[in-house]
Amino acid sequence: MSNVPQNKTSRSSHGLRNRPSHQLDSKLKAHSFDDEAANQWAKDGVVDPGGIKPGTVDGDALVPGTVSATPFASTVRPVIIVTALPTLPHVDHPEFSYVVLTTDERLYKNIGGTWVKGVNGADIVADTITAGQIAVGAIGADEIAAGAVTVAKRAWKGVNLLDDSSFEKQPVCGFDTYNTATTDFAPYWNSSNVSTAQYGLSANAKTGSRLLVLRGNGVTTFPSFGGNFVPVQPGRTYRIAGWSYRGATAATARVRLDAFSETFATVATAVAIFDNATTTPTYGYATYTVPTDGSVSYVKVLMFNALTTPAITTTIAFEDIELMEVTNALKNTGATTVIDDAGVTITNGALTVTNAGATVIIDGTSNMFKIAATGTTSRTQAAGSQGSTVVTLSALGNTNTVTPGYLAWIAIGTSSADARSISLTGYLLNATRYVAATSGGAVTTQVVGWRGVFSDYTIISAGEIQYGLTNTNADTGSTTCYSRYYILIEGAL
Amino acid sequence: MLCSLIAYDADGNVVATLDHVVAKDADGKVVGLVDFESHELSGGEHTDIWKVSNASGSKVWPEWLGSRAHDFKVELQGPAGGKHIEALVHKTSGNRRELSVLKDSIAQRIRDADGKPADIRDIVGGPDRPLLLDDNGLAVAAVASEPTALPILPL
Repeated sequence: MSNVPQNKTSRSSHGLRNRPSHQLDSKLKAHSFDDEAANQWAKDGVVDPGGIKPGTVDGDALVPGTVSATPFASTVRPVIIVTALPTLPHVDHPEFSYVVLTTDERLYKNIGGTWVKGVNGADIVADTITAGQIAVGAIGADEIAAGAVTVAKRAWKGVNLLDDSSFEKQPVCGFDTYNTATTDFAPYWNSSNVSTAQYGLSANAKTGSRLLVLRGNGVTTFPSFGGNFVPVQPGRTYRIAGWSYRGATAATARVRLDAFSETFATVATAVAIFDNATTTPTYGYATYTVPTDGSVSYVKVLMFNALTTPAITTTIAFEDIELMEVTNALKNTGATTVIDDAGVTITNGALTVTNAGATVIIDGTSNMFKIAATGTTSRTQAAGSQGSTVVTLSALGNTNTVTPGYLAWIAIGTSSADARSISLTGYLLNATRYVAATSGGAVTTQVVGWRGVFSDYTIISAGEIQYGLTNTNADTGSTTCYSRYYILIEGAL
Repeated sequence: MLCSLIAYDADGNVVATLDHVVAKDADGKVVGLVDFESHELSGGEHTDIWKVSNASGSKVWPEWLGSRAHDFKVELQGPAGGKHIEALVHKTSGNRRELSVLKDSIAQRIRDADGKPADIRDIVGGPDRPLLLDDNGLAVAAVASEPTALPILPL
């Protein structure tokens, strides 16, 4: 059979009526009428016996918004925007497919039939998170591994107020050798029951090779080891820290901070403590804030066994014991904040400075002038006339009843070379003029003649503070004067 | 942003400036400085802040020029009721201090600061440190001076 339909009717093997050739679109290609594709009316070059020709349908041929996720191959999954996580399993969301949840604006992926956040920690490239990407205050104590903060990283790194607290200065005695003489210890440290205290090598030494070991001598007496009195400041926070552990027998290695008055009388004991009742050397710390009432002037560090019934051979050990002031920004946590030991105090926002004798030398609560406002003015005045530029400072309120003080300078020019005069200036017509001393008298009295006078003032008008600059011009031409003013109001710093 | 206020007469001559005004609460405690620009942008009246007897108006300006401001005339721009100072024109030299140039300089300085506080004192001066201008209205650098090495007694 010819591929070109003849001008006669006949039936194909499919039982379909063939159309006369003149009814065919001239652009149609000839097809075999045994092929189903032959029954497809198509435009030239698009339809072939195999169906739609590859690479011939572009996006413009698609109706916008009609392509859903379902027709995509299982290995080609678009990210779908959802308002709720779809129930899994779902034909549109096979494993490893993604959705964006509009309620939290997050990416989710299907892992094993469960929606999980699209990004987890393992997806973050190492060393790419910077400090600026971590929210302020986001990292708390729980996020920091115990013992992870080293000396080099501590914000409170500063001067250790204790001497030889790593106990390195002492002569090596060996672990089982007793020191019986107090002179064997640094003058800083004092001990009780010194005959039972010992000092020696230990594999657990954190720095150097020595640490302090205290051994009990029975149920009645256990040695303690204490430092000297350390002066402290009211309102400051101090931190004791260090390593401790116990020997094989039950004991509690304790580091304790006691507080004393300026006469070294005990004010309070155990204002800060940390214990270790284990055989593992452990770093401990505690803080203490000195009261602001001046009751505490010194602190002292003690180390001893806090267990009340030690066995005879109980040993406890200490090393790298530190006492440091915590470097914090001073905060005004109450009405009074002490800044330093120079007697500087801020009370309710007013600065006061006292000398060593507690005499107030700067009283910020009163007797101070503050600049409430400042600006400049000018006044141009015609010959033979007087006038003022008045600045009304509405922002300072309209209930003022006391005329404020002020400081101002006046000049006849704006250059830095133009002389500034305080509040009043003028210029002479001539150095000397003459007037009559009495009415109708001889004009023989010498006076100073002024060509012009510039002056200023402050005043209260309708409760508002005003500053005025006046130009009195007796000259034959226009003159201009300029002023810088400071409105001063008494108050606290 | 903190700005100064400039008052001008009908001819545009600067007749007064206001560098800052301290704001206080109801108890008289200082709470800050009055924000002139915010007040202006929110539709507030300058008469809430100050009134100048021989001025026809006042507007904000980003620089502090001290008494040198009086060497200029203001050039206003904008619709009635919404004008601003577009430039200060020096009365003798004709030199112009353009608002757009100032704003671009400030914006560039802020970009360069990359999130850190930007120091723009050399651009605008400050409430207590006006820019140093010459007789032609152009900014000049302040001369830094080394104090003479003199023996001192510690306090």
